[in-house]
Amino acid sequence: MAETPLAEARHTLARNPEKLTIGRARGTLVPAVKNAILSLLLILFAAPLAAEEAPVFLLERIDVRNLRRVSGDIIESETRLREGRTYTERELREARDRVSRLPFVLDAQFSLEKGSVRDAYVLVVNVVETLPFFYLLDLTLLHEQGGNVATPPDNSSAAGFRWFVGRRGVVHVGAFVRDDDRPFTDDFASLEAGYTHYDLFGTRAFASVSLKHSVGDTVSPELVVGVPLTARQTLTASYSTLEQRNVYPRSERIVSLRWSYNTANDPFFPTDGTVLTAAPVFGWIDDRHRRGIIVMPGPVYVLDSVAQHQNVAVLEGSAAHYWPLSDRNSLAFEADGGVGRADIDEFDRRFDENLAYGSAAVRFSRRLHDETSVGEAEQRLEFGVRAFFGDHDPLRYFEFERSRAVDDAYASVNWVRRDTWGTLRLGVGYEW
Amino acid sequence: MVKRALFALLLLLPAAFASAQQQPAFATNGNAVTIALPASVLQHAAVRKQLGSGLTTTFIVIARSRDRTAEGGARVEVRYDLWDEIYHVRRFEAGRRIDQQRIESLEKLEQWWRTPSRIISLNGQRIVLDVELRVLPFSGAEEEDARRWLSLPDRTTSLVDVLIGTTISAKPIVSFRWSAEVVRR
Repeated sequence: MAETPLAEARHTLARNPEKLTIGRARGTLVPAVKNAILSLLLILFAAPLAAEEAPVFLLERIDVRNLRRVSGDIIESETRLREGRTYTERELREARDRVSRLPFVLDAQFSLEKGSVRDAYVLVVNVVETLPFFYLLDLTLLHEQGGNVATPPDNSSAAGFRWFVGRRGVVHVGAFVRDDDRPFTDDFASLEAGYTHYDLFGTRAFASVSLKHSVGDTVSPELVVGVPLTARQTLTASYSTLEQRNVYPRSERIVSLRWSYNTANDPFFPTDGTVLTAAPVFGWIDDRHRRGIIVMPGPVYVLDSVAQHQNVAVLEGSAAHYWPLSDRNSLAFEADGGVGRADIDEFDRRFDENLAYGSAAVRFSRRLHDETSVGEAEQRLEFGVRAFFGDHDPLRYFEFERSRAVDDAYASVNWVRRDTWGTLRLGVGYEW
Repeated sequence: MVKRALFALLLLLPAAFASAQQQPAFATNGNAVTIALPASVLQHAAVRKQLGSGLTTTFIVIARSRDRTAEGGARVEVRYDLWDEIYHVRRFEAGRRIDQQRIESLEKLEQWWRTPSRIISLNGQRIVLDVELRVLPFSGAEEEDARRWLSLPDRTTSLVDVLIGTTISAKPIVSFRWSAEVVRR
């Protein structure tokens, strides 16, 4: 007869007597001493002793509370903890950080209660949810040297509704504006509807499918599947398409496989931790002539034909590290970019183009809100400098996007606010 | 009836006021300033709730001289074992002192809590201090920081960094601030 995970864990513990001290500090430290010899002994021996003291907790059950709309199963899944297994406080804290990073969770608090048998515990997760309506407005206005006003390429905005379906599903509907700084993909604004399923087949993996539509475009699907490798690492595969049938018809198909390592302590205002990503990205992009008469000198163009076809392969990566300077202030360094190659086929010529693009930023952030209040708006003030390197010129055949020069950089000051409704990030800056 | 209620209110008000106004006791011990934390911290509703969570509650004391020439601190960790119904406590203080005990009751915990902790060096005859106590969920610094702290030479200037390590970025449950002028005795 198959054992329950809890019974199995208890048998494992029974076979390993040193683990029978679950939930209790193990060992005792040498008492504090005053003379130098004993201080030296402390330095030499107290450290490993201290390391042995970390208590571990056998989780009999995970109980998610204070929920109104959010599914408890999704929260439990995102903890990546398993009932019947033992965890250290550090692992529990990391689980809380993961739950706090969910877009529909404003705050999460962990506590333990006695389980049904000795040394077993119920992990209680108290959640503060966001509202079903969500918005993100990230807008920085930059004053350029020529006197124009521009926006940086990393602005994005969204507004919509999110509701939970069944025990592990989330449906979202909204409007999205996404900018990216890749030379081979287009920025776009669209209406989007999607469904995300968490804890796929009980594996803690998730899958999300969404449909995007903007004026003049067809409906373009996007599929994302994320698989947790460890408590800190996730592998995410995505496939997205974009079909534009406006003045400059274009189709994009992008496939990527992204590895990420995340120890950030907050999804929106991280002040501590590291986020690393690496991803091979492949793209197949067609720019097409529009139906109609094209009057221009040069070769004869066949109407409604492919003007340019690109096969793109790049390796993208990003790194961000956050240092707490004090309880209010923190410093962040962020870098991202990609290197690769594009095979371009145009009419009567075929050529390759090397791609290298990226940016680096340093940002100082100061907390403005009282961090002991739960459920209140979080506010920060940010000062940052971001510089771009490499080639950010769009590769597309019909050029109409603004090119970003190799040596573009901007400095900005932003006010950021997050509450149960959404996130607002407004700022002004200067670009040179 | 009204008179009795008013009388009770009059009795309760000073007690409530005194409880809210409890201050830590500062003193000197050799070349160090010590702090005895008030029991009102442990009685704070949010702190008491966290103490009952079965997980470690970490108390970080950060002391800075008003002229910002000196800084120091101490760290206290308390974890209530739900099954054994005892408190596991650990105190790190300036001078690489560590005190670790198992305490059987809340009353004894409050006694131990009021034990003075060294928080900062005293070089002159007097020092004006700004002190902050941050109450954090979980053992924010954990064993890594404890190991690092124990293995480093005692450098008072970096004490705050060493003591609080990663915990500085943790979101506190509640924090307290006090100021005091301490004169060497």
